[in-house]
Amino acid sequence: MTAPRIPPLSRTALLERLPGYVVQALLVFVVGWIAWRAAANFESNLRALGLTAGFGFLHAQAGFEIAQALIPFSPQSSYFDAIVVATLNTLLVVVLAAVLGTIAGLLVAFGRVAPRGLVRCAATTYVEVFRNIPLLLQILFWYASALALLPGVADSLQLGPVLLNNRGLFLPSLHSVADGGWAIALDRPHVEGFDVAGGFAILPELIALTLGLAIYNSAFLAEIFRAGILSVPRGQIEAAATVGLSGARAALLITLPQALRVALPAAGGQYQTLAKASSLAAAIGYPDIMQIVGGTIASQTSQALEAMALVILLYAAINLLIAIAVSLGNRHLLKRDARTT
Amino acid sequence: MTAHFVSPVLIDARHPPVVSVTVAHRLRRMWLATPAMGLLSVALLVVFALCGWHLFEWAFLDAHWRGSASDACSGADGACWAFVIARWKPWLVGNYPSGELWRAWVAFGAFAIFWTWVVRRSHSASLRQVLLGFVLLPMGLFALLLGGGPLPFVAPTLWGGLLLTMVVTLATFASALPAGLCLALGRRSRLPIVRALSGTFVEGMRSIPLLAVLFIAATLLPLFLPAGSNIDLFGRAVIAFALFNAALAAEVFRGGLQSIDRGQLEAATSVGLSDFAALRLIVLPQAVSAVIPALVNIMIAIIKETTLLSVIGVNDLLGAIENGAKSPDWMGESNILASGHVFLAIAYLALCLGLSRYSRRLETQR
Repeated sequence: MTAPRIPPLSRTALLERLPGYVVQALLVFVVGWIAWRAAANFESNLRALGLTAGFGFLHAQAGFEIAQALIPFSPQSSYFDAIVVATLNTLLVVVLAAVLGTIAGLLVAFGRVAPRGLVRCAATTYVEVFRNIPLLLQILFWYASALALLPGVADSLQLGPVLLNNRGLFLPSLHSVADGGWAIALDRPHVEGFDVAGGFAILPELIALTLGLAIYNSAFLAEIFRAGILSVPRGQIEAAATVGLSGARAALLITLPQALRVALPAAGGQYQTLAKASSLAAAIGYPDIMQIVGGTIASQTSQALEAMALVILLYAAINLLIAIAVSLGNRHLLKRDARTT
Repeated sequence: MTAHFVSPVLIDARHPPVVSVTVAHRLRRMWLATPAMGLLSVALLVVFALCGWHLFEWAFLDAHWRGSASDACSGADGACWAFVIARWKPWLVGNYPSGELWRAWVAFGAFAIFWTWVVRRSHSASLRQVLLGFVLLPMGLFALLLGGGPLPFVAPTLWGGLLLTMVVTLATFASALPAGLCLALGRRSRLPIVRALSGTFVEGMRSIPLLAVLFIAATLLPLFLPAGSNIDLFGRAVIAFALFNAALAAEVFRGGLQSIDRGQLEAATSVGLSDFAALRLIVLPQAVSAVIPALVNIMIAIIKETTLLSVIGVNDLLGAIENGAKSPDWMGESNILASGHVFLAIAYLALCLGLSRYSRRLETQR
């Protein structure tokens, strides 16, 4: 057994490929030169500023508060902990906005395929309006214009156990009472002086960002789902009507599963866009990756390059995570499909 | 005695059934097809009527139209259009010097004429002319607005508002399209290094948020340039926009190139065209005209993206209104900022909706 021999290039073949080799060599040279110059400039600029590069700062004490932390965080925690908190905050807003956006998008998509009339008109208006207004403007509108109209702490709106005012939404929370037993007490939020005590606070920044992201992306998702719904053959609906399913049940049991299967890859792309767009949190000060890592940490430590590299890595990782989740979901749907048919 | 199974006499022909398609009937069929739908329609109608009335009251009946400071809009009951009207200059042209304003008007006018020509052009008009116009116009506008020679120099830091949004959009469009085309061709190249480099760039750029690219351009780029040399914030922002959108345009062009049948290229080379000539004369014209609606969509995306400039401190249309509501004259009333936001929403909606209608028309024309 001998390995297949690659015939040596003939002279003409070599001559034919020569321009390609030259172009590639030139390209490598140019890119390499730019990278080398940039690195050299960077080093000399850093020396001039008296800074050192490196990720050593990650273990240093952060020294700042984060308004919303899903895991315990204090100014004594390290920068690394701050990055974890910021990442969790980003994931929280992305998941919330994706779920709300998907629900709204599905409703609007079914409205878009309704027979001509007010419902369809309303759905079309919704899509056209929220798709064509810049996301940043929508977020700022919810944050600065809409939530600012809410009453102050003193006259908060009381909706059952929930308090709503311009400092956010306050939900009751469960507290384990730690004196010996394992009793659990409900901690109701209540106004105390000029502040709200007890309960679990949802920041107005989180509300505005979630609303903005969910509504903006639901307009795009609605179009994606509509394409999915339209791809379901008409015969399916007619068959469903024949076996006696009502319109709503047919939509839920027959149309939706088939439409979702078609729409999932495109919707996955939209979820990735949503995750990237969540970086607009920096504009209203919601403590996400962009705000904490790219803003606070970069300016406090002067390690802007390292901080931005982390930002890029984290967003790329979230994007990859979404891509994996979508492809797993897709495979699951396809497998189920193969089993039933 | 015979049994008749058929009637012995002819029955008179009946009139065709009368289908009543009165207005009321049609309305009922459209709006109240099923009880649930009818209920939903009625609910929507009520919501629309209530919201519409409140909006009308807010925007017209209780609105304040005149005044030059926030006390013109005291009392938070109606819109404060006085804010938008009194501060027309910041949101239209930014801090462009008053003596040189005619240059801004010429720029707006030139764009309006150019855009009318693009939309109205007969379908036979050359695509190349339009694309060339989109590259040359921003250069001309830059030269006019920046000045030099006989015209006094106006630094880009003084530009702002709609003028800046327009210039950045056009400049980004003009630089992202050629770059995107090169990247798309690079990804299909036979040369492995070219393919790898353009693929890495496009995929990398697409996986990070635009705001991160802008932050890098605003804060990090100076560190990589030789000490002493500097590009101003405006220029750095345009570079960031161009690079980011080049990656998006590359994906659009790739789709266009993929839609061209391989046989086209093979036929072209078999009649003796070189690879480059086949690409230029046969493949590209078809690929580019196939993706024109998608290119218009990229332009819409760029218009919406330019609002991010306000986050890094460039005074675009959104930034001008936001800064205006923070200026000492107009502070205090939350209604002022809300009016500004509604005004901006209408402005962006008009721009983007108009463009998307145009893109849809192009799509159906083909």
